Amino acid sequence: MIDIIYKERTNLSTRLLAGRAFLIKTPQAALYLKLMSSWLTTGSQGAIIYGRPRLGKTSATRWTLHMLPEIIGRFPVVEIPVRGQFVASEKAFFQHLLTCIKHRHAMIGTAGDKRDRFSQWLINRAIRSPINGAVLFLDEAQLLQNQHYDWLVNISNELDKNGCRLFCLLVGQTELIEKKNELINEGREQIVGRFMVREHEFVGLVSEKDIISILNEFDHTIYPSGSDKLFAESFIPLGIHSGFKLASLGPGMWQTFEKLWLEQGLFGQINIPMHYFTSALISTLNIMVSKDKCNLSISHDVLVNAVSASGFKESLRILKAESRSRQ
Amino acid sequence: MSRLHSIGEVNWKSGSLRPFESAGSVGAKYCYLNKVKPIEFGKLIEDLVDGDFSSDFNFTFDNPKLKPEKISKIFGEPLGIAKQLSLLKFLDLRNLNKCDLFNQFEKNLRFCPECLNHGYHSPLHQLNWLTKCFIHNSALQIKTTRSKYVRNLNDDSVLLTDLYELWFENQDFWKTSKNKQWKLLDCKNVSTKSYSLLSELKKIENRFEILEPFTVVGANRFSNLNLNFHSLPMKDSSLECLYSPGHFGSIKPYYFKSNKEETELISKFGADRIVSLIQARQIYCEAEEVYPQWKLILEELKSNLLQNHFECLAVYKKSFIALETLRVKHNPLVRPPYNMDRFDMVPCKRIGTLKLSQLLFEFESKNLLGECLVETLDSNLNDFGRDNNFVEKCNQHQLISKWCGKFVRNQHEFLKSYEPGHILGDEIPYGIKQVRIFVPMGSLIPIIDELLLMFVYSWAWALYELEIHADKINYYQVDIEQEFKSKVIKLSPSFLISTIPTGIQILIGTKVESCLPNFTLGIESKNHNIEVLNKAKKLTKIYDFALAKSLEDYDRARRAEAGKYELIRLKLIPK
Repeated sequence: MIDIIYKERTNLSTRLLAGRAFLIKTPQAALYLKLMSSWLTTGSQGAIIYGRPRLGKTSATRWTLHMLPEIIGRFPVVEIPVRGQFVASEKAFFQHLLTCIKHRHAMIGTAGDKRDRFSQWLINRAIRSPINGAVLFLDEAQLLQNQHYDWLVNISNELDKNGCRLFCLLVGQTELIEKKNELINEGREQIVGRFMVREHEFVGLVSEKDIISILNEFDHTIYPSGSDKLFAESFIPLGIHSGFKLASLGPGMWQTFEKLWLEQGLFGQINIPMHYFTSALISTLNIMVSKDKCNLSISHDVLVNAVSASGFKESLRILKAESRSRQ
Repeated sequence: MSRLHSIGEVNWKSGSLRPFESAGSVGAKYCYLNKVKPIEFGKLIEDLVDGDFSSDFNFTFDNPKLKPEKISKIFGEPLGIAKQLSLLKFLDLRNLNKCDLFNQFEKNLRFCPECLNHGYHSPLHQLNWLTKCFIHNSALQIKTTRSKYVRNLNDDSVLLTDLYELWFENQDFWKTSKNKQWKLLDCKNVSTKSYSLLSELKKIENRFEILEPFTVVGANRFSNLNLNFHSLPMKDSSLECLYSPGHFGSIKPYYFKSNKEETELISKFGADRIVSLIQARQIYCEAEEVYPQWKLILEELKSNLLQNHFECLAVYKKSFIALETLRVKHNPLVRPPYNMDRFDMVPCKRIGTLKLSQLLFEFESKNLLGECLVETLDSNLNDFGRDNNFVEKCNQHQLISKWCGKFVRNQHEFLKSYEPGHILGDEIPYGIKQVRIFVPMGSLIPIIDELLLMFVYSWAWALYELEIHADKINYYQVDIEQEFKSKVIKLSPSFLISTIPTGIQILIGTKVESCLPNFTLGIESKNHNIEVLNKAKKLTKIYDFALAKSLEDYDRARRAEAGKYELIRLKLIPK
């Protein structure tokens, strides 16, 4: 019995860290949702979302795209994890897009056939959406080459011809901004003007308030879905039943993250990637499993250990090295 | 993972599927939207089938293993429409489907231009007796160039490839085919019109079972079908204007006056009894030398057949005389140089026709009404007589009566006079046959004569069709007598006998015209006699060669046999 509970808990932890358990609303994601809603309803055809690694851009995008239909209605979304190509090939590119939508005929035909097949698939769905459009979510978009942008322009034109609109959501790392500048310098306005006019820098958790807000969300999350069980209940049931709230950990966690930030001699706004925060939270909960009781209280040491185990400290070293090299 | 999940996403414009749309039509759109070849649609169908795929159906959607739920899900179409794709489900027409003529679907693409312009085609358009579209009433057209077969799609292969060509390669047929929005038929309208047609067919199907006992000689379901179609109250029927009545032949109504009792009795005769009385009437007319119209027509047919062919028969006769000389040797291998079962093995194909035409004058064992021996007929009529009250009543009203008479047997074999000697089989028992059978009398005679007349016309036309298709029959090396008999069945008329206030009404459904075919057309040329002579010479040469070889073989075998005995004899004698 103990083994089963242990396995379930381990499963839950790994799924959450892999971003496969559930998507959580963060202040950044909420802002993202607001921006996307505005972009999609004002006729924009693309945007770039950029930021450091592990900030939670992909999850935030997924959450945003999941929530958007409630605001503007249903529309087709295709998530494309962009793969780096040594030489850009139209056939391989469209085959990848068709594979992403699990198309039956992804593998057959010429490059033109595949392009037409993908466009037709998008048109058929976009034409029925309230915004008359479709969203292509290109993750790791910094890997896109110039030709890829040309092909995206072709698809966009195809949809345009059929009275629909394509919105290319380019999500990636900070190189995306460099790519944008490069395209501007090359005079490829048709790409920048279409897909890169809107931009948003994605940041992590920047204040104690952000952390409390996210912990609040965790406090109200029921997981596994349909189980009537709060997420934290899987780790500390007695504590949760006696009224323990994860949000109470907010100030302590913030202090710990802030301390590490300052210790590394970094200046400017503290920016905690979502990955390290989630990892620290899961560590804390796993440590507390054996100490679960009514009227539970968590010591500061536990939080310090959990944050240290999250890998945040190591990431800060890399950040410091990067900033030095930039100087 | 469910099988449907593994099928993956496909391109389809939701809301474009229509009730009773052909798989060819769906496939053409599928291939266009997905930019794939027709074979891919065939593979999709195979994947949508539950269990092993079987392609024993004319139309793909008729496969019961093809679940509408899957079609609905993969195309994102309402389940209600997906359930209305199979014609078979809605057309459980057991009787109608037995009729080849009804159940004939055009193999080429048959289409309504109006429907095509709205991206629609149905298997109902392929029913080749429907001349107009069941939705638009416009004349159906046929695309004659046929396309290749696609695996799993059977008849839909042609439809798919042809529709693709008409819709997406030649936009004239569907102007909006490449537009973002397709102009399609109103779903409700298609559904209403389809169901209207199907319900009419259902009515005919139901009517079939009611009419069956009254139709005479049910072997020919073509004319039977014609009667069924015609006997429906067609006024206000949506079917009335859709099909060409001529497709199933013509219908002729005949009225016969009779009093109430007679009418009631005649209506009770039934198909088998009527057939027996027709045959009895044939015998009676032959014996009593009565000449009703059908008999005169038969005589006319005979003289038409003989006309201009006496020379051919003379050649034919000459070969028999020549053989008689050979026969003196009593060699069993000697036979006439012609094969009467083949049109190409006689000097003139008319000789073959004449040989077959003898069957029209036969009313004994080889009677075209059903190969009934006179003895059997007699017992049939006795069976008939078991219903004593009925027979009595018929007798009282002089509808039937027992007749005793005699006739000369095998007189119908008029070609015998051109076949001197006894080469062809045994001596034919001419003799006189004494019979005692029920024969039609009084007001039944004109009815029976009318029916017999229609049979005579159908037989004459069967003979004619056989002669004009002689080349085809030669090619397939079919036995001409068998072919003739199957033709007779195909063209035989059907009768529907019903009562009216003034007497009896007979509806005769027939595929042939009520006149004799013109046997002189396309046969005689100026050089016909020379051609016949040449052919006779050629056939004789071939025969002579074969005969010489046979005789040689025979002789060799005889000598070998004799040698064997000689050897045995030598061995037995001690040295």
